Amino acid sequence: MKPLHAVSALVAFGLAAMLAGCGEKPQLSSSAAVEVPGARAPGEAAGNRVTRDTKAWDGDALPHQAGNFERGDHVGWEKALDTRVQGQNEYVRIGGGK
Amino acid sequence: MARMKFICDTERCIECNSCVTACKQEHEVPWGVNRRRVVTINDGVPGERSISVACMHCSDAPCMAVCPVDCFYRTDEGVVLHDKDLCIGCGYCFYACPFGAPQFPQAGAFGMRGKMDKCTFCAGGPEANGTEEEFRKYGRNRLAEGKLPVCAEMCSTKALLGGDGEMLANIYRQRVFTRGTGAEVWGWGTAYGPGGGQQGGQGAGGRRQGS
Repeated sequence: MKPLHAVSALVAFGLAAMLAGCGEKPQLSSSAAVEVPGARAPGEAAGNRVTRDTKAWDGDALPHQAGNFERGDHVGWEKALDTRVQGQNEYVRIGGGK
Repeated sequence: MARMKFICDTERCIECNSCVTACKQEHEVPWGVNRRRVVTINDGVPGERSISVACMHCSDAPCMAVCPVDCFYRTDEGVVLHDKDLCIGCGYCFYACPFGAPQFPQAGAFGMRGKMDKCTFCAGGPEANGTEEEFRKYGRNRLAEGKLPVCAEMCSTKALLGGDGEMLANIYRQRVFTRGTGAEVWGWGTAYGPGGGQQGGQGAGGRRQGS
């Protein structure tokens, strides 16, 4: 092969390689087409995806439960917690304070 | 309806780190992860203050807002929790959190991050209450047992208080009136908004006496 032909072939190959980019199809046609698993829709409030949590006062019996309340008794559970919150106040437990 | 919050009384915190230890022990938190830590400001100089810091379960939680997979949720009691089955360990929540609460266990070579871990207010996660699976992922669910977070209940000086925000504010207010100083509640304005949400925020302990 003559050197001129070799150069021409190289230039042709280079042009073809560069033009190949023009024929590449866009991978993302629009933002609406992108589907990210779990992603929120625009404007949707956060924190709506996880819905399977059991309420703290509900569910099966627990071995180390404190306070006088039955499972499912929301008011009783809140009272039990309130008692413990007040237990953090030494002015109530011991006295004193203004 | 109770609205769970934390208060750290900087006048009382003695930097004993028992809250940190209690949390790690109760939930069997792995090495390298600290759901709670004690920060000391002006260490060794007059007027130094120590603060016990963890997730504050913010009213308008920035971690929840930035999570790309929406793995956070809020319970009826205002506790911000997340689902580790959905978390992808991207770390956005860490950058968004003003308290540096989200923690990431190292999950292999090249410093790869594992799924995010943070304080749950001892309320577990989305798994059924008190189950082995819940304990393995999130630690113990003390709230379901009718108890408060172990860090607050273990605090020897009762610097760290946890529970219904309104009740905490009343306890703190009584303290401030009794001792006559230290009305500032660190972090409440940031976590619960100007005014500290419904309970009065920075003014939770009332105005400093004499001012």
